[in-house]
Amino acid sequence: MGINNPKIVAFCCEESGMPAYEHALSLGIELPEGLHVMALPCGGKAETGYLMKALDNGADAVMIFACYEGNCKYVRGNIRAEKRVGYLRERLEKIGMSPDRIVFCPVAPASGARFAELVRREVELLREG
Amino acid sequence: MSGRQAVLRIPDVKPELKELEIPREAVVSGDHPVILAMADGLASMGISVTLVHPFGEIEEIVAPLRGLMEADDEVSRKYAFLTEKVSNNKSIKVMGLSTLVAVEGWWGNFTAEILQDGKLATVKAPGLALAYRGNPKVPEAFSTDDVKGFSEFLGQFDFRKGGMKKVPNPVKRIAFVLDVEKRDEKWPSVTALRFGTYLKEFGSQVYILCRDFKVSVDDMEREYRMAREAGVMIFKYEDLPTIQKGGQGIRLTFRDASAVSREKPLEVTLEDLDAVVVQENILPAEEQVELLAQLRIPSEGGFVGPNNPQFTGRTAKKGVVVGGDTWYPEYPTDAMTTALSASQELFKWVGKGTYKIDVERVAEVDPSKCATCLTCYRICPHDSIRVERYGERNVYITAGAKEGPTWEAARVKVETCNGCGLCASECPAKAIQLVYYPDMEVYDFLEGNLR
Repeated sequence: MGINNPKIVAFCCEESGMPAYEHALSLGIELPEGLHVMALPCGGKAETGYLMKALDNGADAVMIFACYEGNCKYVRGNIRAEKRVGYLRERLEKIGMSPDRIVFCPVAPASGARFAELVRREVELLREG
Repeated sequence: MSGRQAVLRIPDVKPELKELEIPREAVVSGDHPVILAMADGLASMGISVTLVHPFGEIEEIVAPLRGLMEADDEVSRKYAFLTEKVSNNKSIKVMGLSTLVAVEGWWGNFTAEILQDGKLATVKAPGLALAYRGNPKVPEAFSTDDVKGFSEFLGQFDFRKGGMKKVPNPVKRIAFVLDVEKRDEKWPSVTALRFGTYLKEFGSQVYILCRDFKVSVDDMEREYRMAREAGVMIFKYEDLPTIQKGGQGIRLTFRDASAVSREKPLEVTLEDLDAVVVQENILPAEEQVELLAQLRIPSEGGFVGPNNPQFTGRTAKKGVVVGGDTWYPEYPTDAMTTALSASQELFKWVGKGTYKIDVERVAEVDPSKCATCLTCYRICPHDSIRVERYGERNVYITAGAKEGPTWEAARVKVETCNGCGLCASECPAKAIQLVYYPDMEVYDFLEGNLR
């Protein structure tokens, strides 16, 4: 059971995810229509509440774009986000949902191509069901 | 094309500025020689410096560094020059035989507790610069009796004042093993190459085993060529070499990973070695760990390091810069450059006399919801949120929050908050909100665009 035009919410760290998104736009890479991009001051600000609220409101997948390990401006924000995502994935699996609906993606600020690639892969994953 | 996606950006609030008075003073502390460079750099920019060091005489600060090559003329000349400059400078107050034991307070108003001759002295300073020496530790994979670390091996020799020429040749066949655990440090390759070239003069056979040979240090390309011409042999390896006792010495076996032997793997055995010297991991000394934790400087497994996107020497805590090993283990000349950049970084904070801060881009606590669980205190990377139980001690004011004598909740120090929102996202009572980016904005966006 796949989804044709999945809604994806991307929470982007202001230091890496957001520049990567803008880089993707400047490269002219086509991004899916159902992508909702939200800037956060740090990946670690992606609260459990935000992620669950996004799913609750009908998002098919939630992606968190944060910095690579050791690159966080706020020392451990990205690690906190990653742990939170791991915890939520476990919870999703327990209640019978696919854990792939919440993913943590480390990106570099100048990797628009990787940003687009990760979104595309997520869309394909949701299409296959 | 673009613009079809719904995007929520961080609101562009007009910064509300508040001016702070910052005295032009700083405390420089540590046992790494680059504290001289830091103190001199700050003093030359017109800042009065308190230099705290644990040695009796100021000349002792420049003691051998992990057996790095102090015979290097350039290094010793530079440090001798600096020592003289610092001891003659009137705006530098030198405190010998003393250590910095604790730091209280925030940027602009640090209180440094300094232990001198068993007596505790407090110094008020708006800025801090730290540079400590790390402790070398031989990696677990090589912790056998046959193997020596760089510092243990080179510590046998006194390289200062031309002492190198007096040392009788100690080894006939020697192998240096680099990049065992930490792969991006440059000081081992510089040391191995310079010491190897020196040993070559006595007719020794020198082997250097590495993963990548790093020569991006001043003048190293030339020295690399000279070493190769003298006959120093450099191998690349991928899997760690194995060490056995065999023949008349130590036997080292590994697989050569250079490009020429990619297709036909080449097993290399070095026999009858008199000494095997491995690169150590430089870790913070035990006495430093508590101080570094107080200042939120990452120290587990190493130091801050150049992978950090912050500027050279800067830490997550405002008004604190680091150099020497506390930043990253480096060759003395590089360490001095880093320390100078760090002192310039500190000048940005304390040099102007006044400083403007933005009191909008901060977090704010709702005292009625706060349960004083200290979660935010543990998480804050800037140490700018704390729980003050006793009302009369609260002399600082949170933007927008009511002032009262019976405040029993966490409070944000506006001057140091960077508004990253980590405390807000972890608060179990949801008592913390970002002033400029409240949760409702995110929820409204989600409801408005997804439904």
